[in-house]
Amino acid sequence: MITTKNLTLKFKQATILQNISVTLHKGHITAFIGKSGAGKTSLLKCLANLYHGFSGDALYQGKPLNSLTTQQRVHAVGFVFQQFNLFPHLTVVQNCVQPQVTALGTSQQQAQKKASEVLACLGLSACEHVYPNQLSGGQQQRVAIARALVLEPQVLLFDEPSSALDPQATQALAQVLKDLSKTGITIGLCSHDVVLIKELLDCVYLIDGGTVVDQHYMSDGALCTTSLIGQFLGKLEE
Amino acid sequence: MTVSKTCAVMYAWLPLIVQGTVMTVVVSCCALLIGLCFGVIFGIGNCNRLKHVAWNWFINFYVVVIRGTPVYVQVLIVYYALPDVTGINLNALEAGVIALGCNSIAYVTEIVRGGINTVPGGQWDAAYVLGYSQIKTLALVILPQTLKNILPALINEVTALLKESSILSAIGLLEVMRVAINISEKTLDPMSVYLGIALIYLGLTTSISLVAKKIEKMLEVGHDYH
Repeated sequence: MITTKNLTLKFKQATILQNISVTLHKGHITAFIGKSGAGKTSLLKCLANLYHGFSGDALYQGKPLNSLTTQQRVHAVGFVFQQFNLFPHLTVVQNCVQPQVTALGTSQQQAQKKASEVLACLGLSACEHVYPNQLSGGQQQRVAIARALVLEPQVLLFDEPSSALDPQATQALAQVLKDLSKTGITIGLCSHDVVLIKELLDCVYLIDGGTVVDQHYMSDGALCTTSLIGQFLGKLEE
Repeated sequence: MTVSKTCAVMYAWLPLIVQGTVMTVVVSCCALLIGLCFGVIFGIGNCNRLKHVAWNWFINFYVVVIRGTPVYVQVLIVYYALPDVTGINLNALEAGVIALGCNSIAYVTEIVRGGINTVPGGQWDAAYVLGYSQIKTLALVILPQTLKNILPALINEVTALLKESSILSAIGLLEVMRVAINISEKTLDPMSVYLGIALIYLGLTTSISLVAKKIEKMLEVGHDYH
């Protein structure tokens, strides 16, 4: 679905990512784990086409991500930010309606209907007309997911999705991610949450110093505790 | 005693004072319009996300020059020196509006630039990911949030502009300050006249503040980032 080949990202003199080659398979949940500053968020931002100055390839269904039109791009990749980045001057439903009208040219009526459906699926019907700052962290995150989903992306990227959530909200998020994955949406996330990682993943990449140092497909069997990923998760659990 | 004398003078010269007050409001509104139109454009062009060497140096140079020189000097240059250079003769009203407008542009530019820069960068990123063009990002996401941030500073600029318009009395524009000077010379009672004029300025600036507070209340809902 999304592939990077030898992706290298530099800011001035500093190398943020070096020769990263990863694949997010259709309908799978892929995680990028690693220490803070390892380059996980930068990689996700490259996949969302938020960073343009990288060398190497970032491909969506074989096409370079930066060659997609705006409409193709929003249908290809959605992004849920760590801080959610909801538009604070718009209500929850307006946050979900405006992107459809603005980016896709959907009629106001259709956009409203779609937004209400998606918000209902995520249990947010009662919050439609409130502002983001009146919601809890977990609710804000679900609004951010809804805002991304109304554009019907094939790939949904999450930056540290459980960092602002309590254990209960994290469980609820895990369920949402599982349900999304079942509908065929490809999910990529970076996280430090061991529970979330162990419960959800189809594939894990361990990133350190801007390069992939280990990877593991869950379909290949249980994770070996002596592997680099196993050791990293073990340290997180401690 | 002074209050009753002030009332008597104001009443006696009421038509002229009203005429002067209207002129003050007109010249301030015109200058503000110029300041807002160009100041918003310059402020947007000079914000962190959109600044470009092609225009950045010009905007910065303009702001430094205007903010670094007294508005009085700017008014005199536009009224007396500019016609010599350009050959275009300006009357006091035109020169006053241009001078105050150009002065206001510099201040509004800085207010808008600062306001846009206070909107978190994540808002730009979110709009990009959601497929907004740069113009739509500005119009639908960034500027509505900026407005609330900059409203108090903009109101300061409006009231400053209104008060600064009194400087135009130096080039003979019959705004309320020039009217006061004329009346004071005729009545030889500067205390009563200037006290009355001060009350007129106070009334105008207070009205602006009251309207601003209402607008601020309207914008109060939503907007916090957490």
